[in-house]
Amino acid sequence: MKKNQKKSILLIAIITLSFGACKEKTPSPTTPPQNESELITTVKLVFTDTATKAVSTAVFSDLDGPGGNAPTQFDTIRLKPNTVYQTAIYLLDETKTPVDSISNEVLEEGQDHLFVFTKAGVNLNIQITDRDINSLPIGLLSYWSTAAVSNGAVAVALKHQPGVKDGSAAPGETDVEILFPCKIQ
Amino acid sequence: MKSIVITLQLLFAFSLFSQKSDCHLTLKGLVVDSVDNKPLSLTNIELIGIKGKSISTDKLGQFIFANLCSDSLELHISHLQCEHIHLRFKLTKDTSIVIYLQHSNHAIGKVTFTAKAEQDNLDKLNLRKLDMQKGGSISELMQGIGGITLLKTGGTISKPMVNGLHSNRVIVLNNGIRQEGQNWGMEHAPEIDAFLATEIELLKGPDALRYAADGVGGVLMVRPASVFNEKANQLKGEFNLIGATNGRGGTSSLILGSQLFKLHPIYWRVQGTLKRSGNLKTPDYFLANTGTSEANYSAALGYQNERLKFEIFYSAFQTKIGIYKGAHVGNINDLLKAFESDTPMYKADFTYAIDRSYQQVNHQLLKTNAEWQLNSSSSVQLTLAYQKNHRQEYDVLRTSNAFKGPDFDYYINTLTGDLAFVKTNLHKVKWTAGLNAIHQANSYTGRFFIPGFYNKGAAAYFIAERTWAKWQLETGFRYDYKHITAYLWRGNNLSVRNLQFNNATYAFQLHYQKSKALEYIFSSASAWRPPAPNELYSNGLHQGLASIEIGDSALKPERSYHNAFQLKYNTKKIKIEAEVYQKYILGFINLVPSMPPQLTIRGAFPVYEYVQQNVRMSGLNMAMKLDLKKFYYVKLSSNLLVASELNTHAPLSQMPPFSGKLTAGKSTKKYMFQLWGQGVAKQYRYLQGSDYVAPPKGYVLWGCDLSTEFKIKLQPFRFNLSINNLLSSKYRSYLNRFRYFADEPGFGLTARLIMPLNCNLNNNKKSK
Repeated sequence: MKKNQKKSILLIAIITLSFGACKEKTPSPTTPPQNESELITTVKLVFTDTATKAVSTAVFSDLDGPGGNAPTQFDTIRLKPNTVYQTAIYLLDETKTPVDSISNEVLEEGQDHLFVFTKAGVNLNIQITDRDINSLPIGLLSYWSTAAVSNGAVAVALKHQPGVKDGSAAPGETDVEILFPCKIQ
Repeated sequence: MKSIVITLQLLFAFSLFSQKSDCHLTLKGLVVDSVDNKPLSLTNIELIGIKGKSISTDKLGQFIFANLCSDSLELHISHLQCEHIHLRFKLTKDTSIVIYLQHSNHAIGKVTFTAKAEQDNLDKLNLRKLDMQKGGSISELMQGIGGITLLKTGGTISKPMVNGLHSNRVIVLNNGIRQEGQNWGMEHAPEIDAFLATEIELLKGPDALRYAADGVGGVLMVRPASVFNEKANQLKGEFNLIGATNGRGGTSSLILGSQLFKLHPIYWRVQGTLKRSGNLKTPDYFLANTGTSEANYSAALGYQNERLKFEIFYSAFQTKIGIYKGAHVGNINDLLKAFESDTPMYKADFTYAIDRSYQQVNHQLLKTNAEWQLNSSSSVQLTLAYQKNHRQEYDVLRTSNAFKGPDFDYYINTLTGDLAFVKTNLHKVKWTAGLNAIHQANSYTGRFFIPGFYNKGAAAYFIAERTWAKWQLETGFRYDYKHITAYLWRGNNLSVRNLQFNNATYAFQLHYQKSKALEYIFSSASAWRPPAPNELYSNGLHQGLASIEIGDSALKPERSYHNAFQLKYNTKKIKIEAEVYQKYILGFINLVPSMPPQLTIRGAFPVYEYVQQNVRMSGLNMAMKLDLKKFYYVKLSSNLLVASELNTHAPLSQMPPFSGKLTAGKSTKKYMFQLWGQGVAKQYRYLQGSDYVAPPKGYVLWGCDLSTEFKIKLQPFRFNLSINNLLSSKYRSYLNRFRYFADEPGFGLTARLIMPLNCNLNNNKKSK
């Protein structure tokens, strides 16, 4: 019978352990859910006229992320003709306090990220100036040179290309893609 | 499920004819349940020492052996769940016997027996069939049942689809308990250890009403072996070792049990499974990040005396599933680009490592079941169960500084209770009356997809069964009340929604045994299902599908009307099971494309909204087996389904295309070998514009299976090999949600070694 007693102790131990495993903390439906996940809510383009140092901005902002409410701000890029702008891109998570600047992280891991600019109908030339550790472009900083008055659009896309970045737009998946209306006037 | 004491009575043996010459004697027999006098079909009867003399009882519980010699006979009578019985007597003339098996307890409504012999049962899978599928997920095991196809997400996630319906519409019962996880998700697989199952059945009759009202698609029952089968002084169990070439996967599973004390009827069993697999390979390339791992265990303890049967069962299931890297798309352009490309964006080699994105799911079940036998014909059963499900989904990190925790983190805890009164009497009537209750809490952290909620419900049911000579009628009725309180948080803003539903469900089934070989079954049922939380409240981006899903909080319950006619023809040479069905679902909740696309920071996404439609689903499921000479056989099975919206006749999307499977093989006592070919047609019935691309073209796959049994010293072994996609064909499946991104896995060989264990505890010596 001793053997049997050992067996019963083992069984009781197993069942007790199992109950113990149940004790993990479960949030209640009645308390607001925590969300620490990162969310890019805002893309801000800051244009600095290289001649006059005048600053203008264009913002896309969707504070509750994809789905839900419509974007709260969606600007048109307005630039002067025959001007060279230094352009900086800021990516923000405005659901966090203080506001989280995701563009800093993109810069730190530039070898995994690439901004892709595609223009349609505007007389504009965009040249990326920043480089990652492999000397491939990133795109947080660029020069935008405008020509004659024109109307169109500029698509600003951020590609996430971990391990597959080769300087081209094709690899990876898209984290940001906004088609900004653009007016050179 | 079975009694401690199985009494066997040789009731009468009488002479039919005068004595014949030596080897022309006939032994006829009938196996019946001693409690309700019902014939026990599918009981395996083996004549020991006479080659090839093993048969199963038919639907009427009868068996017959012809051309026997005048000699001493030894009969071996076995059920899946029961003790094996040996019966010796001398046969001197043609003889008829009646064998009474006593089942004093019926744990779950109707007890079904599955014999060792392979049966081509459309709606049930037995141990032998499961043997050939071991190592796969519980869903993969289910696909052998007629009408069941798999809805897949890549090569690593699959869930059962019953005649085209899945998720919220298909109820999975694990050990008699309704599985409660985040069932709504198309990429959320059932959280059940496949090694717990000794039988899987698609419940078609009113029995299902005991467990659920909302099995609009179907109710699948996964049955483990009963703990009360264990014996004193005998440590019994089974060890499984499985290896698969594709994914280089390995699985081991052990189950052990015994009667704890020789003098007390206390039984125990423990079981555990470990599973690991790496990147899967298509004919041309490895699929990046498609590894999986699984660790499960369970323990059962039972006590049984003449009046009381008590069981406590605990199981834990834990899995980590890699999501194919090439399927991670940021927006619709990525998706279209991935589809146009023939080769994957992410090149991969073989690895077991699982990177983001992945799912991690933990499911625990604690169940207690008590059954009091009030008298020889009635019993009371009380079942209480607690389930805790925790699902975490980890997306790809945008930067290494980003939050490392899960992006989606769902918790659902469920307490269920069932109290039933079962009355069986000798006048071939059986009825069950009972009450069901549920309390469920759902919550989440991380990103929003469905809200937190409390779900409280109660139900009453009544199921009755009556048998006449050739007829059997089963009827069931159930009434449910459900109350849902949903908590929708937007930041710190809360809106609370209260929903109440109550409605009735009914089912009946009529069997007619036309002749010994031919049986007709007509079933008719109506079920209803309240809208699920995702259908009511989801409002967000479905990353994997690159679409925005919008729920509708005004959705009403849907109701189904299902009629089916089943034909079973069973002779020595040919077995046919065919089922035609027609199902109407009124207020079918369907996700349909809606305009215009919605603008987000990742570009514009197509929008899908939940709407209600009236639909009709008609189909035919068929399985046939033809036994040829010299142990050769041919099998044929097929599934056909046509599903349309009633007004516009528009086809429903994501419905299984026509498929058929042809198998030819040879099965002797020593080995079984079969070669099969499976053809799946292109799904021509789909709504233009409802999908990014047209359904993939049809394909044919080939495979083979080999199984054998052998002994090393006294230890028996079962060994089997199966090859899937023998020719390593390149194909994509319409029912795989990752069909946009990658081909299906190529050639794969799986080898399984199954070692039944049987140790005598008295002298620690292994014995058969």
